[in-house]
Amino acid sequence: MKEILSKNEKDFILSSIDQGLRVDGRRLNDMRSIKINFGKQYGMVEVQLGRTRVYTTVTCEVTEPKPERPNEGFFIFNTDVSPMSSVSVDSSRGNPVEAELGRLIERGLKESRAIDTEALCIVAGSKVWKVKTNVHVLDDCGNLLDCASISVITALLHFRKPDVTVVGNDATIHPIDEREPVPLSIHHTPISITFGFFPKAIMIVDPDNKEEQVMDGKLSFYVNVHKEICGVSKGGGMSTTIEQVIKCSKISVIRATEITQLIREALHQNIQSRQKPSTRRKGLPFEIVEHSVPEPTTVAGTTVDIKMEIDTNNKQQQQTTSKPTTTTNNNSNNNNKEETKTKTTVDTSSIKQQQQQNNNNNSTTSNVKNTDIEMKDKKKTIEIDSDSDSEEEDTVVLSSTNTTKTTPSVNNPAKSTTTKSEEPTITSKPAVAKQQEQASPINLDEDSEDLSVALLKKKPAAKKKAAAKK
Amino acid sequence: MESNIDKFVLPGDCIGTISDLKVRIGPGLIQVKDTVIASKCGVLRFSKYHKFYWIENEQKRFVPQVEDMVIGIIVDKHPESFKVDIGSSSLALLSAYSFEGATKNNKPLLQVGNLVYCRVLIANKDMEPELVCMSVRNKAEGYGQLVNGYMFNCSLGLSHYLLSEDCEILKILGKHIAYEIAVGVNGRVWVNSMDNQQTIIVANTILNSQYMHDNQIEPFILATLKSESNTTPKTTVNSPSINTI
Repeated sequence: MKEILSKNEKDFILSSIDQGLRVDGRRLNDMRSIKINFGKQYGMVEVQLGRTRVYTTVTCEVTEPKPERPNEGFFIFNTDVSPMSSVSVDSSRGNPVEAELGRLIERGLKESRAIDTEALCIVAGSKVWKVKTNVHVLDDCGNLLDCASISVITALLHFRKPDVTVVGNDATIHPIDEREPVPLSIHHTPISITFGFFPKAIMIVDPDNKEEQVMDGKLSFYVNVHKEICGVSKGGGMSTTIEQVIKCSKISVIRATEITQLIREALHQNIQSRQKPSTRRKGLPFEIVEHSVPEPTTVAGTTVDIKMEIDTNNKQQQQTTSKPTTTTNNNSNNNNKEETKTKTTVDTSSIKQQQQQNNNNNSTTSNVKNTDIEMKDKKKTIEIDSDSDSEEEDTVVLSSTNTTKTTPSVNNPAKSTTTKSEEPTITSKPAVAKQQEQASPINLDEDSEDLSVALLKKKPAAKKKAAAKK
Repeated sequence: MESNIDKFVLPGDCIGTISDLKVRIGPGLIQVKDTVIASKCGVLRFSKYHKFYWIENEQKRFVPQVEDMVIGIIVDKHPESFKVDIGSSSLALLSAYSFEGATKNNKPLLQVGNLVYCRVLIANKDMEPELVCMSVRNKAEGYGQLVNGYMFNCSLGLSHYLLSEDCEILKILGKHIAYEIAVGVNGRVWVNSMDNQQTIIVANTILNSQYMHDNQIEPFILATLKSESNTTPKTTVNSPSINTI
């Protein structure tokens, strides 16, 4: 089934172009707007040229080179025009558009030496990289070749292959999380610009699907920023004059420069945004530590204090009240913990309830907090293990409940999502939580770290559990 | 039924009961015994002029229903009938006698590629739809061939909106540009005007207006008209926004 264009539309488009007008309001030399979206992994790019969409992915693997070319790797291009892209795509028969598209892009990149196959060599004669580029056409609204060429070169520029160290004949490929992956060696960025020809020597840039069906001839220039022509493609259609061809080449260089600029900006933005989160993560634990004011909590007056803390509203106040009594106990962590053990067993019922919630919720607190356990051990005498696995351990529910949800039904670590934005509450005392919220959130987080610290004896186990949960 | 107008409904929602009322239901509504149930998600609309209910959503696939007014492209010509593409899953059949005053000797002069504005007579999901180019009173009344002009595609929701009474965009456009328009509920709109430039303005404005508020349309039209009058070759008329639709 072919896409049908009515006579009215054809006549209108031709007469408009005659007058220098294009149906979507563009000028004769205007291209449609280009949007570049990157995927999660390196080498996944989706480019939109107006409403034409092409998605390219680049992957690589290690293979043996050809015997006659032991130093060269492989660049393989595969094109797939989806039947969703256009009415005229018939998946049962081979699509000539598909083959032509892949071939043009491949030849444009290889013959202009934009992509360097020798740089893909790992161990000459035995190991080379094979870089596979898959071009998927999602939507065909005209000018597939341009959109695909932009998408391919952007994907190749974006792609990172794993770092390799070669010792003699052995090559070690480092996984991506171990070492920063390495970009491919791309010498220049060729872009394809397509022109459409109409009667009376009128030429348009970037025809859309209706114009493509109406135009007399098509000419594509594969150029780069350095004004080098990497390829020319003209398949049939009406004959063009020399002046037209030269004019096309000049316009294509201008357009290619603009597009290359766009690609570089988009790549730069994307690479930057990828690097940011990792630095943020590293900074997080230290932030909390800095803001936190270590408050030694007592063991001696535990039972009383705990009860009070649970019953009264402001836990922070209680913590401060417990300060003077705990100064003597700060040094002997072991003793304190033993005492807490004995004393906290008194108030098990309500504590255990809260404990369960804490267990559930603290298991999902950020891993960062768990790592700060050691730092706080020395300072805090009441150590509470709120790991979900160890329900038999004695835990004291203090301000750690700030990160817990009130619902007692939440016994599923998977379900509970503890984020700082959540209302800290105790199931039995929602009022308490609200007041805790009003207190500075940073302190609350710090308290949760306290709570997540295991008792000394069970500390290694708790640490392992914390590590396992990470 | 009235209480649910302009409210969002989900498939399976009971819209209302039909007691003694004569109610015409359109796309997206199914009659089950004496209740009317929604079969797709969307907003329930009621047209006072046509006096029927339908469910409006941003759909692109056209499923023909009886009494739909559509724009078709003739793709095949037979001695006594035409095969017309209306955007449905199969080509529709238009008999050569379904025109006002058509007889064996006086058949319509339609060629492959002509545009016709017609009405869906029969529409089953298992058969090809059948069209007629005349009203129930067997008069032309606007149906028939569309000459010159330009046709463009839009979503079904927009085409229904253009046909509703409270469509502001067409009225505002009419204040500034003289044009004629035919809207097919199969997502096709035909526009004709004095010259190509004005037709292009009308077409682009309608497409862009889908995401504009009513009070933004008038300044938009004025701005484009002003820029058109300044430069002879057309300047871009918000082309990126068309592409986002």
